[in-house]
Amino acid sequence: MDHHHFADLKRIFPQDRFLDSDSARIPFQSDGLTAFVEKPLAIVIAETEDEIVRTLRWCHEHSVPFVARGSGTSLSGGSLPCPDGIVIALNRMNRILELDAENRTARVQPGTINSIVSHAAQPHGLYYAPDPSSQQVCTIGGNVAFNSGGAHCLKYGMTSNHILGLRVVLPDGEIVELGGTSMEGVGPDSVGLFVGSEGLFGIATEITLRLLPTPKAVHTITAGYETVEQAGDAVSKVIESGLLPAAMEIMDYWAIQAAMTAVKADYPAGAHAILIVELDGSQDEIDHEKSQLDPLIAATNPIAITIAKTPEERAEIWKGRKSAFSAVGRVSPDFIVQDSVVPRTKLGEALGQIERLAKHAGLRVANVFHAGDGNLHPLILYDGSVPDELPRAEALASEIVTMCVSLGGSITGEHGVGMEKRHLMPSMFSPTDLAAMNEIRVAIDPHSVSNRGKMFPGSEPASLVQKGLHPLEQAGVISRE
Amino acid sequence: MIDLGKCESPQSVAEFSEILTDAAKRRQPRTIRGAASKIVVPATAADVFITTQAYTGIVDHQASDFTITARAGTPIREVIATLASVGQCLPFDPTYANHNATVGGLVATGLNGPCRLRYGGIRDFVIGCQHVDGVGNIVRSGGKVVKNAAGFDIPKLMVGSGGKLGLITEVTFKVFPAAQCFRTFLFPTSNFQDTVSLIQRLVSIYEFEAIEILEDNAVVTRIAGSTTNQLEAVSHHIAESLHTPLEIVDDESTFWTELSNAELPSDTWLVKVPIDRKRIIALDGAISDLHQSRRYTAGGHSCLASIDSETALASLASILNQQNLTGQVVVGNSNRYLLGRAGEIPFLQRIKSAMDPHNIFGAIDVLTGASAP
Repeated sequence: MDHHHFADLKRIFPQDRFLDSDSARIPFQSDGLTAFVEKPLAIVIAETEDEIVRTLRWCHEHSVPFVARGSGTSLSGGSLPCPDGIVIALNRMNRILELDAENRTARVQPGTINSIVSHAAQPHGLYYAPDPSSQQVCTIGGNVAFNSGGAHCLKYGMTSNHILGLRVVLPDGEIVELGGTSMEGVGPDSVGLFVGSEGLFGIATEITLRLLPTPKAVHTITAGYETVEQAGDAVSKVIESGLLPAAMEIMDYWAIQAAMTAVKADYPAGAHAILIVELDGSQDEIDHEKSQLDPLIAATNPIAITIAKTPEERAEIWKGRKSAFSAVGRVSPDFIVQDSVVPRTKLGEALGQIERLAKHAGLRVANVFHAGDGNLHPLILYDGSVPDELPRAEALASEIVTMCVSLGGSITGEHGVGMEKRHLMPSMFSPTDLAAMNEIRVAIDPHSVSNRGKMFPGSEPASLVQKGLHPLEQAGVISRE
Repeated sequence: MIDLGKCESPQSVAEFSEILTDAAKRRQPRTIRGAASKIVVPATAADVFITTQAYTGIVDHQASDFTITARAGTPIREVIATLASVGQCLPFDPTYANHNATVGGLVATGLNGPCRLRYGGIRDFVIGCQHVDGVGNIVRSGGKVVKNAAGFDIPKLMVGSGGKLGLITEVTFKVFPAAQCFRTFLFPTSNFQDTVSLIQRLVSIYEFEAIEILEDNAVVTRIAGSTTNQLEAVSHHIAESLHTPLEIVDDESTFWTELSNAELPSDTWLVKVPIDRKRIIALDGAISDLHQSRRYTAGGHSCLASIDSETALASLASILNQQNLTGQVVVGNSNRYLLGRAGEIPFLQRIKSAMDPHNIFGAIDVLTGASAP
């Protein structure tokens, strides 16, 4: 990096918001995917849109890559620094600029914490629906970049279904306004294209969110089963009945053990699979739907059924589920998190294959998944101190993803491609498809500075080191989806 | 009688690709057409059309997975019927099905029906797409599973794209279970202000399938459920909350079908303008000053203005520009596309330069109006 040019970047920020010491760069060298490490040249902490515009112009002019970073909770290495690049930290741009209860919208800065939006909307009987498990820490900007999901995607959709408008600084510094404040749109859906573009199209400095009325009633039922197959069959029965639950989640044996160990989750003894089904809506709807759901679940021969009678009991059920990822850290020194999708009807087959592949690899796999939409999270457990276990775990991970795609699924349901899965993109998209996406990318970012090296297949990252649980997970601050 | 001009009608994706590859080499534009149920571009001597009408068929229907894939020329009513046979539906309430609207045209126009209000529009239910771009490449994007974060969301981009970015050849939709019973209520009002206030109250009481504002400012709402008992309970709740008896619309199925398939007089255009409930009164006043008729769909989030002259169209564009709004011509004999502010144009032009570098699909037309800045 030319020292003279770097000085130009430094001039944009006061000293305390331009970090380039060794010690300052270390906390930013990984994100939620701790296997990858890359020290940035510098971190700039933005507080205004003008600083972002000037920084991106500088990056464009000098072809220096940048990655925008919220809380760094990405599980795909999406906010991993780019080699020879800078990090643009957005946490200080964390204000809710406007909350319009009448229109049911909130206009927020990218560093706004996901759960803070719902807290702010709650007095108006509204909430922000997308609920990734890291929502106490992750930011809206990151959610937009990666089209974050959550347990309640089944009924309410992902982040992309809740973004109405964006104010974006493109990678060359031009500002564009996409969408607006309406639920409807005209022309090509540019907001839809931007959401989930993994930071490759610049930085959104203002995001208009759609708020929903807080459901008047909720009904949460937990059922324990002897086998995962039985839990899967129960899910099929629910779907076939025509019900549309807000969420349907399954945890298998190792995930249950971990949750019970870590957060003392109160799940039925002897259960090798737990199914959580949640209905929400008006009281009339709930009364009607639970009269269908409860007997249906009872007829699937669970070993036990629990129905949450209070908000506290409901919170405990979800605490166990949402802690599952972090909790497996208590039963295994290391693990790889996956995020594959299969058509829902292929869930049973996929789980059977995972069991077979895991046995062959001599490794345990805990399964947590969004049963309603076929989004699997196999957690491959291994011990990094045992000489060949990491390579075996990685090989197993690759086999599982390949298997899921062969069943008609996807390499990623909600974590995004980032750094971790870019080599798998050719398993889903042809060279023509990838070239078409790259043409769009280059048209928007001619020097490919915006999160360079992510999403598209490329050379391997500089450093691949397994670090175990993210420090925030160890501290119990966040949990993974 | 509109001259539909010379029209190529491929029967395979390879044919579409060949035609567009050749068109790109010759720098010869093509105008894409489905069944011309909504937009009919009047032909000039230079126009060459390409239609999807011969490229039809439901490719895949995974009822248990709640997805369906169809070729672009497939009549949407065929998709609706296939889904209905297993108790499923397209939750965005497709429009102009009775006028032979096609899957590709539905997505390219992006015109949702009234019942989009409950669960979302076309863009919320398109999960995968195949298109041919302006140099003849056949491109797949998205996938066939309801949850997928791989790659850019080009399927969403194609919604409302008006045939300007690519020729859609196949679409995969996410579907939902269909409701069994419906009930519709009519609320006459005295003036538009009362109408808007009523809608604010309605949305706070219940999650309706549809809330429409008719041309005479009356409000029509729809509820849905599994049983009539359930509808009775909901009706009772609404009436109690409003402190008023409810006026039920007879033959409500016909009412909604006619609304979703509303024919326009010739030489009239239907312009869609996304709006919100805070800005709706200002927009309505301006349209009213033009002496044009309009209705609102999606709980007041979308104005559908019927514009009967070029002068009025230009004036509307001007109004939209002043009010920082954008409209799209969604029905009519026109090659007009966008009106008003169109602030996204710089972003869209970059995308277009990638997807259609030689402008084979025509420029992204924006009418800014008589007094454009």
